Amino acid sequence: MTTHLTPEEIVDAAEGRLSVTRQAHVSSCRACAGDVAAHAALLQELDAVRDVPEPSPLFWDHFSARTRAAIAAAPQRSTWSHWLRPLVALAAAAAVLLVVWLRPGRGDDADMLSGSRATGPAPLVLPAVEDGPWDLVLDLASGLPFEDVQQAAAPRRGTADALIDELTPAEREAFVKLLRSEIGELE
Amino acid sequence: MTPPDAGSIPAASDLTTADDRGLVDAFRAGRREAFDVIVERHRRTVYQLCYRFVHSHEDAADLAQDVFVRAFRGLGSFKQDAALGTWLYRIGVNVCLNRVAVKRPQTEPIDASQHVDASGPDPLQRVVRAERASQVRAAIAQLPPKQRAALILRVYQELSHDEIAAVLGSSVGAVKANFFHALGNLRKALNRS
Repeated sequence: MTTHLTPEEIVDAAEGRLSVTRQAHVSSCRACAGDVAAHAALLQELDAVRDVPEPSPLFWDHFSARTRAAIAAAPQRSTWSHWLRPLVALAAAAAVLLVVWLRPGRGDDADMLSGSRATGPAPLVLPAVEDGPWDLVLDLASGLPFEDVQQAAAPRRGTADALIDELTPAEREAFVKLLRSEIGELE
Repeated sequence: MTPPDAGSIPAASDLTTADDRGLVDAFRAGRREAFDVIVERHRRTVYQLCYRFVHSHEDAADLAQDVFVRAFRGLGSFKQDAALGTWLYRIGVNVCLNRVAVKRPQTEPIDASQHVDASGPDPLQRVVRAERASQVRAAIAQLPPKQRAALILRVYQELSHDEIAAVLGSSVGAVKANFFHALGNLRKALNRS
């Protein structure tokens, strides 16, 4: 006596693709013959609900047009951006850090920030810089609690700051060396 | 990405008669209009696939559009190790399964279950048949995702088990097993109803 049909063989048998030797087993095995018949009957029933209503003939042209519009409206991903985007972000981050590093009065700011962290909320001190817009920003910020300012300045996902945040220690070390060499050249 | 052989890119006038590989090569060579031909050639199949999952014209049209938008974005990295049609099926199944996972209809849409033409020679039989069809569709909608996809691709899209394996990224044996269990689960659900 041969073994009963496996699920795969039942599928093949219902579709008429079972090998001759296994088909001989089905002919002599009531259980397998019943399985195959049930399987085939259900396939016939499924076949009866196969109709997909045909859309209006106008639909297809409309579909192509709306697909074109959707493609045009979707943000494009150019091939260069895959590898260049991180470099651009890194360059932007380097530029931001350079500006912060070279900004006049940075030592005072650093002292102020470290002092604020140690002692809790403290009024912001205006740096001695002749810059109207900067003064306006500082004037507005001086009324804010330190925690709010800190939260607003925290790195966000997708920004250059966040990218630096995600660097491994080795990458960060290389980045610092690069910055130092750049700063050294400027000084 | 390997640049297409210039000799294989069809001329502008030949796009409508070019095979899928030629269209993909033309698209990669910057011929945007090649994608229009791809859409025109495959839109009916993709729409029908989507309809099988959602049983609503509006939803199927939205999903089919989404399939082509994704295909447009991904065509540049399509390796052509499978036929373009198989690749579109793969996107279509993923899009449809994602949609039905987040949006499970409480009732069958009107264009699938309630539009019964009772004007034939035996209106009662037609109504009974439509009711049974509604039960079958509801039972298919309850199947686990891979079983549902295997069943739709095999029974309604008439893909071979090999093609389904390529679409679903499974082995042929796994596809047949999914198909077998799909039918078993359907039989149980229909017997209950």
